[in-house]
Amino acid sequence: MPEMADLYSDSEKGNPYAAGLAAFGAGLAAFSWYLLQSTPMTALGIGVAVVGASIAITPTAPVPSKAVRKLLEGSLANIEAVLEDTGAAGRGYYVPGGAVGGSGDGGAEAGPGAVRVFVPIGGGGDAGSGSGALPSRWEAKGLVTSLDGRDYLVLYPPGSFLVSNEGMSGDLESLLGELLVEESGIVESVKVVEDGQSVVVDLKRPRSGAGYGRVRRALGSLEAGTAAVVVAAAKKRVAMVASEEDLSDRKRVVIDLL
Amino acid sequence: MDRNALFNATLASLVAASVWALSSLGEARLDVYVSVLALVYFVCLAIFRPSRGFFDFPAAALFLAFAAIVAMRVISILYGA
Repeated sequence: MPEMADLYSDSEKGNPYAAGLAAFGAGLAAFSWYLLQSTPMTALGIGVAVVGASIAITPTAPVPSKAVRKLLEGSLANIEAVLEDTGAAGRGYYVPGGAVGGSGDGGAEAGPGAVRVFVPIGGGGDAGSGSGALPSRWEAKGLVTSLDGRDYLVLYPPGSFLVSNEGMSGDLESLLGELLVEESGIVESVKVVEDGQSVVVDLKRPRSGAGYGRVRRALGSLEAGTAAVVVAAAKKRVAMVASEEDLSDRKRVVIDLL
Repeated sequence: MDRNALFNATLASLVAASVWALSSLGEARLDVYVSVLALVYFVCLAIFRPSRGFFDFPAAALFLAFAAIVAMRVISILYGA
């Protein structure tokens, strides 16, 4: 399924007709300089070339951010139903694609693939409370998988396919801004503070009302869960939404790196 | 209109306006036009912060051109016209 996303990556390549505009501008500039010997026309040609180049490198957005937000919110409704049916209630672990290894080795290595969330079934799964060690391997075999004697519900969280390991370059704040602010528009702005084993994400004016009750306990709210997906993918380590605080016009999320 | 479209529309408008204004004043030096173009581009970039699918090579080209223009001007001042 992750390969399907590559078929639609052309939307990131910008407008091809703008390349023609840039070429026209370059031609006009050369023609004006050498034949017409007119400086203003040459400058106009350069200006047209710059505008054409700017349009060419601007990625097109076939899916409006509002639609992306609605799709993400809708996916949470399905997850809520699955969580209720399976009785999964613990805090989920956001595992980057192809992760192997668990606690004790300083983090999991990540290979290709989408971020998945492993939600413990039956009993608290909060690693912070010391209720149990992390599995030695994060292997998903179906919807419910058993790892080191414990059952986990394996899901693709909202936003999982919006990130890819290839696109995980740059600092964490710009990655979160690109996904949470520009692509999905679920928050107005993002600020990140990294503190060794945890990441504190400050989300200004969250716009989504999705993610309460069981979903919030397991995955965090839509904003927190999507941030955890990005953190797990960027850091290539297992992450968990440790806490989520709703303030007046912002939300503060603490994401632990396990 | 989203931020990216607004950036491109504003850039095009300001480029046209600046070329028209300078040509109306009778400006014949190409480096003046290029300098103003670079200024307009970077101001729009700072205000709108559009997203980029590739490396921003117009910005790089304009920056290098502006740097070359400034260097040539400084050299001409230091060593006489």
